[in-house]
Amino acid sequence: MDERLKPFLTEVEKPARYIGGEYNTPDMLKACSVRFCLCFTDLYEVGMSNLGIAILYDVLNSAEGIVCERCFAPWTDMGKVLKDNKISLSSIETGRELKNFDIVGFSVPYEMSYTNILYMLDLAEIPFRAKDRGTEYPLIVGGGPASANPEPIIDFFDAFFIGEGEETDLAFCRIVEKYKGDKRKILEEAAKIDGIYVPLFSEVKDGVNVTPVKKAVVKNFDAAPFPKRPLVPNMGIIHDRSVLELYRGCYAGCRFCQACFFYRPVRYREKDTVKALAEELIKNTGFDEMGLSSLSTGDYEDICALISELKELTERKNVSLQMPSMRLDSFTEGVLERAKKTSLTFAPEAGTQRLRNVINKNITDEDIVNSMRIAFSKGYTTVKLYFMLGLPTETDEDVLGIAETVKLIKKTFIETTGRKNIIMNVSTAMFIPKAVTPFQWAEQISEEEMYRRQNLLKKELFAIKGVHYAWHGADISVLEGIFARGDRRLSDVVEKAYEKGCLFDGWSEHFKYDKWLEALAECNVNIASYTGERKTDQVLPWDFIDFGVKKTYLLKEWQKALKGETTPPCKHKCTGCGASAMASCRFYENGANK
Amino acid sequence: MITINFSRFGDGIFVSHVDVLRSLNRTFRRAGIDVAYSKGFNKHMSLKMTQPLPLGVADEDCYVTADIPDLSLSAKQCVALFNEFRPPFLEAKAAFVTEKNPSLAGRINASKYLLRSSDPSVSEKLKNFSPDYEVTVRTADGEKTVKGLIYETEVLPYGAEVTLAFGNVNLRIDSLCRSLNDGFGTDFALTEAVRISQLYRENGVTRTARELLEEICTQKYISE
Repeated sequence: MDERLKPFLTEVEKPARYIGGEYNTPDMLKACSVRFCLCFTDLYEVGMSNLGIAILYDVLNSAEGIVCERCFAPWTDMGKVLKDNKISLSSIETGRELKNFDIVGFSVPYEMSYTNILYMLDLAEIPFRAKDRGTEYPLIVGGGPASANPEPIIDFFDAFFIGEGEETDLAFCRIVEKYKGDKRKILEEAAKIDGIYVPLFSEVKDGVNVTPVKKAVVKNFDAAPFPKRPLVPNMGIIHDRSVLELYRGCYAGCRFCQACFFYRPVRYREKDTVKALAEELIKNTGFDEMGLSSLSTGDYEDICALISELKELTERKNVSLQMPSMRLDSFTEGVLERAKKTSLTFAPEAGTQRLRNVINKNITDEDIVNSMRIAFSKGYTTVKLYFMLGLPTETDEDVLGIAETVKLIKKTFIETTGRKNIIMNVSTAMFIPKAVTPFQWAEQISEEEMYRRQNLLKKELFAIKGVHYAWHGADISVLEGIFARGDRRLSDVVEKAYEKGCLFDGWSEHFKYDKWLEALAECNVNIASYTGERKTDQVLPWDFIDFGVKKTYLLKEWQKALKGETTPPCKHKCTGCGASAMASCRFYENGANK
Repeated sequence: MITINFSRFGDGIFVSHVDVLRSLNRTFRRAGIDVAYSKGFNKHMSLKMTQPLPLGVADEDCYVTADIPDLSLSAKQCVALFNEFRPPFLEAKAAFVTEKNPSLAGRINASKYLLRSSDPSVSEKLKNFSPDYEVTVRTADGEKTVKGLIYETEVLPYGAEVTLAFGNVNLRIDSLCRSLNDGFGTDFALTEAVRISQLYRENGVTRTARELLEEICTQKYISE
């Protein structure tokens, strides 16, 4: 811990955010030649729940000659303390100032944390833009889910890691070790590695980078490093449990889902590996909960057997095995038998079959009814349902169809149980067209239209007894939409918004939409030019990245979507997305599609 | 039942009571000490602690009582296991095996603290400090003065030792620190305060929590 913070810790909210000293903290005093500070652009409790951070921290600290420390965005009360007392932002473990590390790496989880990159750099007394940083400053690198389209923030980074960081982070550290002090040489060498995007060595034409970069993927996922002794936080965090990652990638192909296409090909951790990890995690952490993580856990091969075997282990140790949300078509009685009966989470996403076909959510009303019937017969009385509004081709009929789906579920409950006491928590998010998806060309509806559709649905849902409805803000969705498909010009907007006081934008109490609108206007940014439909022959800001999944495949999917045609999940037959060229795809390997 | 006497120190003074309880839960699980669980829908480990201290105060005399139906471990083994698997800011010092729950939370009614200051004139400033001192306490409605909740005081060259009401009737150590700083011009920082012992006062007799446990235990271990 930074001892300079101690006098102020009784004055700030949740001081345990800043003290470190977690059980399983690696040796920070080992001999090292590279010091890496892994930064997360949100609070401790959010970042400590991030599996990516845990994996990278473990990978780097397990490597000889590298020490990796952490820094999370301090909450505004601590930010003020640091500013008022001229304390430079430092790492949790040893209190070393960020500017004294060799590498400062930001994991950027979502668009609305962009201003927090600048907030942390500001507190660390490091210039925002790469061009303004000399050799006296550490190398500033980025990565995480934002790497699907890093262009809106690329000016702030010396390098950006595209894709999975397990191997690239380590490779980058080795380059820094070899050419320490020679920033240009380091970046020149780094640019040769798959998965590292170095803007300094990239050619830009018409404001768009054209130098290709290949996404990094872990080829042998079963043998990939996974933290067996993860840090055990000293305070409650968002996901206060140990986590087992079952597989990466997703075969489902929902056309709005960035994670599905970004993390392909599908790679598995074998059942025996998972079980061995589970034993280690229980023994080494003491967590009383264990969660299973992957994009669609229910689709893991032999999920019932895995849960059954994990249950034997966890019950013996009084550890609760948490089930994640399930795809309706992967939901089986076998899974349910083994789960703790709290509440069930399902994501039908759209309210009509027509629209579900457009988004390629391969479920029918019959699937919904059958799954719900099983759940209700097992004693579940609470259901969480996630939908999206503003999907491409959506009409009022589709919006009202959400209410009809909710009524259908309620009817199924009454028919199955003979009771009426169901609780249904319905949430809607606004559709945001994302890079590397078939919907990357789609239009995002206007803010006014978002409010209209939300109100239309509210009226219907509020009339159904037992329904609690929550909706995602239209204003924040517009901004997410701008940045999700943004280009390099937006770095000025991020900087301007930060100067105007925007930070922690993902937190409703800090979100200042008016300041963002001012920043956009002052930078002459036309919102519609970012949220509008893109031409299919247009060069997109992220086209320089080879994601494995081919643009031609995404385009074919987009055209099928507009015709309401579906593409079956690739579990049984390869649909030829192209990702298997990067690493062996599980389903391709299994032979079902050969 | 086993009651473990432990200290909370270092940066652990900034870990809240609820989070200490969570850390204890994980320590027992890592140590493989089979504590009983509640029987409800959301099962939780059967652990009992005494009342919380304000954040920022070190504690040399914490207690946690664990319900262990089939205790095959000795008190000494429990201390050793606890210390092998503890987080860096907790350390077990003693353990007491009892047949019944010693109900410390209900019985402890006072705590003794050490307040430390680097001000060389602190003892001079506190020369009129006595149990009769009226403490100004901040409440939701403003400020009020309370009297009779300071049981003992001893002014030292480097600060003071005070015994305060603790439990259902309570005088918080942070309230006293603030009041002394305002009233006597001292510079006590909460982060320099330490709870030395938890006490049970009845009919003019004061016993420490440890003495209480020693009276009723069937087995004990106290480390050097």
